[in-house]
Amino acid sequence: MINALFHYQFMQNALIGALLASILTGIIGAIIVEKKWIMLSSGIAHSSFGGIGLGYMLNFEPIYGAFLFAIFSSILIPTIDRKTDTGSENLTAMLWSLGMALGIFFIAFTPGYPPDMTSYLFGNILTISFQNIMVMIVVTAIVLTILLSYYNHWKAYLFDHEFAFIIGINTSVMDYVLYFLIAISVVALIKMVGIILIIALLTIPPSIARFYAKSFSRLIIYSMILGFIFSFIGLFISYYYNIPSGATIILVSIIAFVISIFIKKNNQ
Amino acid sequence: MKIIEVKNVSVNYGNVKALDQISFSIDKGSFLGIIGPNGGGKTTLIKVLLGLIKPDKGEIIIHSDKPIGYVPQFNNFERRFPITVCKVILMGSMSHKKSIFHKYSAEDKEKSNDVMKLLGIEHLRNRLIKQLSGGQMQKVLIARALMTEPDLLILDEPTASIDSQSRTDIYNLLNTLKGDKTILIISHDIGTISSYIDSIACLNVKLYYHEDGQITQDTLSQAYGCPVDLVAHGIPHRVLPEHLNGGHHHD
Repeated sequence: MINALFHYQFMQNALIGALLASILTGIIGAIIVEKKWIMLSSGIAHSSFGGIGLGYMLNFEPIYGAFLFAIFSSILIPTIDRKTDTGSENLTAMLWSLGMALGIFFIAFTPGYPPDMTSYLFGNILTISFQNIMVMIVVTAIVLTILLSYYNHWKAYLFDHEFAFIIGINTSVMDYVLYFLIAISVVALIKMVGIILIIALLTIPPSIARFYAKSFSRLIIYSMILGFIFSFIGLFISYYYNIPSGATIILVSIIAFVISIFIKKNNQ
Repeated sequence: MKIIEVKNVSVNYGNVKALDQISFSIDKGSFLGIIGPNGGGKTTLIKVLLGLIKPDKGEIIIHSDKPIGYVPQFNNFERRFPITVCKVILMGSMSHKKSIFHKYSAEDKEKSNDVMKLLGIEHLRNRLIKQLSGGQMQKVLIARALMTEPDLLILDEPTASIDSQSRTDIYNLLNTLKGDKTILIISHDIGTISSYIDSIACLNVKLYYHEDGQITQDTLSQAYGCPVDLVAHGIPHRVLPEHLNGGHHHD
């Protein structure tokens, strides 16, 4: 595999992709696990399928369509929730399935042979293009900049948003910013693990990291490291056994989670 | 001088009245207790005062340019966030300075040490909050509120289900803060509260107000909507009106 890394562009892309993905999942994963916005994030990821379908139908890059749909849902969910009190869970479920339905609808209207959607649904790290890498770099840069420039604000907001509001932090703006960051991050990760499996890569590393982390920054850093290890092992298995990377990464993560439960139990 | 004036505040959840034309004011430096049954609107009142809910009617005037020092109910407080005691307390100082790339200053840290000393929790500074007992967590939340240097301190059920030593510590501390700070405490713990406060109000959708801090059977019956056995709540004798003393025994 080391040899392949030096010889094949797609292996180098995959490795850089795994590195960027672990930065993104470390940050966003730790945040959504603490905020308990897990289903919401998964919903935003699924809604982006509509945009992928639209891209195929109108013949533009499907990932840009995915950004459009994910950002649109991430604005719609809190806005409708505030105005109608429908409950963000219900709205998430609706946009989740609406996005999937529209995706199938658009693809049905796409002229010619139906495109292969498996790489979007389940991900394939080995097919990550240079363009995907560029998208991931931009998204990672945005997420890192916003997190680091207001790090203490984010910590206060995630720890106790009522108190943050009372001491004068604009928590409703932070809500919208966080929705936006989740939207762009999940789309950036689609090629890696696929729409359906994203949520596992976002939640499993922080779930393990929480056993050991004594601060929020450590929770993020441990999640990043674990995410990278899982992606790397997943990539390795993918390469040798020709199994889609999304599935291997998730299986490795779940096995690691089960092992960490036993380690945790024995240490207590 | 008043620090807070609440004028005819009503809050409805759909057809349900949570607060009905609540009016009261608090003098600067005084200690007010609000008691009432569950579902009587205590939490809603706090949220309105803090600005978390906008009232459907009425207005709230706060004569202070500082944020309210809010101490939430510790047993409703989610404690899974990975954070140590001193970091939680430091967060309170963000009320003064919230710039981009915010960092806690040496003064902030020094002040947090003083506040921890005041509450006797400096030995817990590096403890994770999930490792604290109820009483310890309550003190941490009070410390965080004090870090904002508030004029008005609002505490929601501060002594419900904590050990008696912490309870005494907390009431003693509030007693020393009184005068310098205005304190509003919301509790169903009528017994303990009444020996510290200047005045008391009973809240059950409407507000029943008592300047002298005396709790009478009438007040409680009004607020709770049915006669309440004062003795069962552990009211000390000295706040009991005479006509209640005969025939009842407190524990």
